[in-house]
Amino acid sequence: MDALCKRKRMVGIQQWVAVGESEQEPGLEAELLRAGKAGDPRALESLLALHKRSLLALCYGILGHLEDAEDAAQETFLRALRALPRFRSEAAFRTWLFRIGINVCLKWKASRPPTEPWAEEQTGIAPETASPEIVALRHLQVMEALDSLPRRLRVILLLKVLEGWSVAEIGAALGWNSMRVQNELARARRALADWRRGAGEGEPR
Amino acid sequence: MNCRRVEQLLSQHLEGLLPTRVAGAVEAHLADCPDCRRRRDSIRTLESQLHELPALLPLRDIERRAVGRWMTERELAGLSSRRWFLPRAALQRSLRQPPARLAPLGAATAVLLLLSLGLMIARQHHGRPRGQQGPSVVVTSSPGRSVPQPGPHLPLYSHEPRVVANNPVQPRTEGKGSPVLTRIANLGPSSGTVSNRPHAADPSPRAQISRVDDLVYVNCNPETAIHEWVPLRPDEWEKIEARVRHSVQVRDDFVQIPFPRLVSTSERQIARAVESYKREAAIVDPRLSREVTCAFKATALSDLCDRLRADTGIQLVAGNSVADEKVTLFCEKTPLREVMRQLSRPFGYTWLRSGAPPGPPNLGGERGGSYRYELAQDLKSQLLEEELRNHERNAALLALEREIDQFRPFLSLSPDEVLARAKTAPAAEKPLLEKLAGLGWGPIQMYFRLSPQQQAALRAGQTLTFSEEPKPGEYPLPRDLARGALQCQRTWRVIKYVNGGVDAAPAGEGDTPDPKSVPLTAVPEVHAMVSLSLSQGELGQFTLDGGCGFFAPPISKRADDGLNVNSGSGPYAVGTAPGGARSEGGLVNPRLARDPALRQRVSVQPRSSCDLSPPFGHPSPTRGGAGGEVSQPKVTTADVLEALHRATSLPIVADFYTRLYKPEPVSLKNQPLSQTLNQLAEAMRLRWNKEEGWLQFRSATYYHDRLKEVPNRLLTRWAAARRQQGILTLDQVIEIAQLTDQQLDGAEMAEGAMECWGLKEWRLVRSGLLRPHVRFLASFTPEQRQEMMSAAGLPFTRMSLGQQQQGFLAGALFGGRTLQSLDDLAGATLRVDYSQPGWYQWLKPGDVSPGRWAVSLEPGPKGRRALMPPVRERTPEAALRAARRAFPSVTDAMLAAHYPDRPDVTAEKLLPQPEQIAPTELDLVIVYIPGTTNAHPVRWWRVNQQLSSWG
Repeated sequence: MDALCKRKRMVGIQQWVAVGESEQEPGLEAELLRAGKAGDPRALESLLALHKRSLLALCYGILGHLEDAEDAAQETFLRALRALPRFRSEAAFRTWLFRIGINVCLKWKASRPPTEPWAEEQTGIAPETASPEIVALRHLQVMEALDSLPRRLRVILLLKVLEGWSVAEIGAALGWNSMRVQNELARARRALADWRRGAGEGEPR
Repeated sequence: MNCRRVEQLLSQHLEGLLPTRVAGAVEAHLADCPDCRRRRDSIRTLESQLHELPALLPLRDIERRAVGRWMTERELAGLSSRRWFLPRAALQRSLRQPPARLAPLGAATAVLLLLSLGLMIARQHHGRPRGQQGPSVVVTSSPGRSVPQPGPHLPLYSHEPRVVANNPVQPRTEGKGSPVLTRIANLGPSSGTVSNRPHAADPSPRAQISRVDDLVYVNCNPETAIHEWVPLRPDEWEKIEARVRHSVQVRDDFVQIPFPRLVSTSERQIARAVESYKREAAIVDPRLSREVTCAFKATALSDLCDRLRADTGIQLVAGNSVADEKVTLFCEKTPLREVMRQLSRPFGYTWLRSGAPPGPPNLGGERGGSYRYELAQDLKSQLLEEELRNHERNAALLALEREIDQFRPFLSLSPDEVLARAKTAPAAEKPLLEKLAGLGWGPIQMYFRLSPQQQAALRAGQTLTFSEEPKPGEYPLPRDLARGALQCQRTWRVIKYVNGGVDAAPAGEGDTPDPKSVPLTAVPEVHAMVSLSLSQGELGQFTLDGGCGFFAPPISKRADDGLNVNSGSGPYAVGTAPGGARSEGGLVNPRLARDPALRQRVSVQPRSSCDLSPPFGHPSPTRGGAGGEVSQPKVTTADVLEALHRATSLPIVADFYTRLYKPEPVSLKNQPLSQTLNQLAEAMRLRWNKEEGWLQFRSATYYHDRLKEVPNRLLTRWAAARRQQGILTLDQVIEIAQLTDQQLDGAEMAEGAMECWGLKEWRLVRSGLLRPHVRFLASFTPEQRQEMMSAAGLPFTRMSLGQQQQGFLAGALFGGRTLQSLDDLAGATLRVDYSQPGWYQWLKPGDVSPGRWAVSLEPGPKGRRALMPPVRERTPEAALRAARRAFPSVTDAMLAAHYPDRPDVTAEKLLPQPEQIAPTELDLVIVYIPGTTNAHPVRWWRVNQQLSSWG
């Protein structure tokens, strides 16, 4: 009972975090963007911070290594800042940012093999939705599953699942047509299911 | 629809993109086909797990760094467009570094930070009078004028005036020079050489350092320097330091360089400090790639560093904060840098680098030649450990509270009622009720009635005493508890004499009690008392102790001679923190469970090093049980890890805390390595990890264990002394007693000291009763201690005034009784009896016969008493003869006084008897003899015993 309550509470907090990050009032982002373009560094930091977590997750999912992901996310930010004067608001800032991120990640030369994405110093940070072991285990599963996919498949899967992009949006970002995205997505999911089978289905969630 | 088709459509189905009819067919198939259903579920599960991913990630301030970098870029772009001297290409190069490592932010960012700092300074320096411009500025700022010696020839660091003298190009100093340019110029080459990957090859940075501008470094205008000597507030300094530390990555990233100490508000001074820090941080000491082979078991870090220093010639030191910490380290031909890394990182220690760069390189001096490395634990990490201990302590107290709460339902029952209920209670409840029915009744009842202040005092380690007639320092015992507190002391009965005197007699369970005796509750003169204590035997564990007692007023004859009996049968409740004493070992990194490198099969057969040479060795020859059976020597963690290293040849690093294990549970045959590691870790309460090819182990309770561990340097010394002398002298025992309570209370440490180091005497100071008295002896001179050990003891009169006035002494001598006359003091004596096995002695037989330390010669409180010298001989016969010789002649008057109702007791019977002769054993008795008359009882303390006798 207690555990359930705790879990609910944690989920509640996560929701708040998620709201704080991506779905704030639309006016805020535009305002920050305006101030940022005018050269206010604080505004720029706040603007980027809005998308930091999701971008980092995307990079991490693609690259499989936290430090690489952080580097890539930072590089993405930097490129976005450099290109900011050219950004016209016809696309959403987030979409634009993520497109840069995808390009950075796809061209990223992994500096190290993704063997230890869950090193000790990272375990402490996991929120306590479940026991740390379970969280870590689940995390491992996800990362291993992603690891079994080619990088491009990871990209579309992450965009689809994490960001909820439509097939058309993904296609636009990658320069593919919708059919191809759809097929690749199906391929990615098949690979996931196959990985799951290979890794033994009886494992605890 | 078949499985293959469903498999193809599943993704679109999950998206909800299929036409209704097709979707229906897919659904129908899924309902029928468990295989496909599982497929769908596993995709859903993984995708939902994917959703958790963002929440799990640690967030560092990437956006701040990105914006900071971008701003600097812009500033520099602005600068170079104004045709400043610095070649734009060089700048671009420095900026196009690979993205900065984040955890320790890369050097490229550091450069930028410095640049921006420089810019900031530059702006603020405009408008200063010329005379206060920076010292020896190299560059000129006249627009359009070309500058000799651009970036790559500027110095990084150098102290060599000789080299400077050879310098063909004179630096120019012009008033208009702006310090910022110096900054930038200085940074140019460093940004070119610094890579942000740790351990990147750095063949010869010196080669890129020009000698040209060493003057920049060497020269300084003393006048301006004086202006800079204005103290900076420490917190401001901290802020700066923290910022710089945060953003400048040290190449040897496990080494922390002391930040240059400066006291100045001047930005230039700060900038200079930053620069010098930056220079230092860029250094890679090539000597650290020397290879070393290590096989250290349970070695203190100070010794280990000494050895490494001897092997490599590099100044490695363990600072005081970690010098005594013991580690186990095995590796073959590993670069010293790696070893240092493994000594610091797993334990949260830090290497500090100090010392100046070496002499001129062209004289053959080696780079980094005079650097000194010191391993230390910083305050923050020490405080963190402290926090961990507090946390455990509180958890243990809570666990204890839960234990005690089990008694709550039975609080309304009297001891006899509880006993009756215990007889019929279910097996699970029985032990609980039996505790409550016995001597625990008083303490447990009392525990529930403590005031918050009393609870705090209890937690602070005080023993609380509640009495029907409280003396100073005692609390009143609630009336309603008094009867129960007496009732539960069933093993005692009292005999009431005609003269009003009361005597107590223990009555065993099976014995038929003396017909004249009655239960305690039947005599109104007998009053109850209850004592209560909370002790933290092992760290992370609390036990509730205490007991019940009774006392009766003195009989008229002897002023102070009342009955006073106390007994307990604790512990009544034990609270252990979940992470505390019984914390489990195991794997810290679940991912490793599937590491293919850990699949090999290994056998681990540890051999005890307790029999071998240092650091563990010199066991006493009398190992094994009393029956002469030689038990198999136990093994330490270090032994096990050594065997593991032999089996796997993986490098190993581990902390070491003394714990002994029977060899069987830690020997494994032909098991997969990961399983072996798990089993060993569990058996030895270690956590393990694999990092960079190293197996790392750390005690699951290291923050407790650290406090319990006794340094090797002390153990070695005592063990050597014992080997030489066969025993430890009293002085050495006293020295051991000076260790902290935590060190002496630790059961595993004590076992190790006795078994592995052969320090049998450890047992003497383990006892909480004797320990304070042994410590007290430390306040005397060695000569005085010699006198204490003589037959006559050390008289009170021969103590110094300071010693005489010690409250401890008075307490031990008179136990809170009031002095009858100063003669009591004058005749008081302190004696120490330290006996070793291998002799025979006369032992005090029953309870009521004359004592071993003193014999009363005349009846009554004013009567004299004689001291009994310790009698020890090599044979039982000689011991008996000597004891009888030493025994004072017993007069009829004495008999009448001591045994008024016992005509059967004769002088002959009181003499030492053959059956009272026993072999000696290791024992330490500290005897306080208050005066030469019977006014006060002789009191003595030995291991786990506190006794007193009227003699």
